[in-house]
Amino acid sequence: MYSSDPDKKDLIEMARKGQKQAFSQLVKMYYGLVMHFLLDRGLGHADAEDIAQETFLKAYSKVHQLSSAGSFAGWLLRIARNVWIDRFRKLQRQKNHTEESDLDELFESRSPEVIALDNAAVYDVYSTLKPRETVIIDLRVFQQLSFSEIAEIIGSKESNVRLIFHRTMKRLRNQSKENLK
Amino acid sequence: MASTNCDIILEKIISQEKPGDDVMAHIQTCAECRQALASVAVLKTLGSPAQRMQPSQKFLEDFEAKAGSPELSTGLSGSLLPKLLLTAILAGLLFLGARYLADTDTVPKQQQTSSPAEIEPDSASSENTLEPLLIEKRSPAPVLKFDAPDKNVD
Repeated sequence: MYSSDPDKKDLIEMARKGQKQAFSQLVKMYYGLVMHFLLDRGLGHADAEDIAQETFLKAYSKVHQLSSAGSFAGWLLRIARNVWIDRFRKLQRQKNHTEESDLDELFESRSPEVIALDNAAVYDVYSTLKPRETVIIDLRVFQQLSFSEIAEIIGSKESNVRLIFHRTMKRLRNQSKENLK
Repeated sequence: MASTNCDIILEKIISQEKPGDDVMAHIQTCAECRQALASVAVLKTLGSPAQRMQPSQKFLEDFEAKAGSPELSTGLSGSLLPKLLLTAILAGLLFLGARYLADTDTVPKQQQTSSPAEIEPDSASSENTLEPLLIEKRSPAPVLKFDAPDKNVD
């Protein structure tokens, strides 16, 4: 679904005109991104889902204000962040970030064809991704947002976002290597 | 080439920038870059990792129910225009009403409080038209035609 950009833009345009069914499709498409973003804030699944629900409802009521379809993911996550901040202030919850684990450097010499064929290995590594890594990979690779935009959305430094992205990409390659051994 | 340069190349490819000849030459000789690009290709084939998490049926049903509620739909574009029009009409009616009330209140007050000096005569017909008005304004009390009777008593 993410790769079919024209469909996504059409859905956003239909949602802007008030079509609820179109927006429901967008909810399905962006639910995972919003949930990972909220889980990265240290929320439990139930709280994250509650805030995700409010996020989508606010987005639905304001979708006519959205200027361009390309920034939909960023716009959605900004709403999610605002809803989360409101909720955070009310509940006075502490952010509970886990420390990033160090990653081994990867130096290997396999051909790209071997790695490209190893789809299953990369898919397996998805399950090991932390919420923040998932959000960054999604926003960078699939939504084509710049590192500075991602940093602004998730409330981090651009250099840190860049570091996490490249470490995650290396880990994906490392996972492929391990699976092929 | 250093790892940071490979990272920059990877970023350029992800940003869909067309690689130059020097970048292509580097990719052909650097195993790390080739592997990184292959991983990106695999990622794009598989789809976003975020998409592995899908909403439950209950989540979607709750959304549909709440999205259809009247208090939420007030912000939608479909209902925004009539609301704005209604507000504009009400504002117009209020303005007209206030203006009418202001007019009815201020006319008698102007007649009571205005002095002859405030009336600016028209240059063409000032003598003919203004004089009766000035007389009216200057003599609100009755004018005696005869001398007061106490003068004759002496």
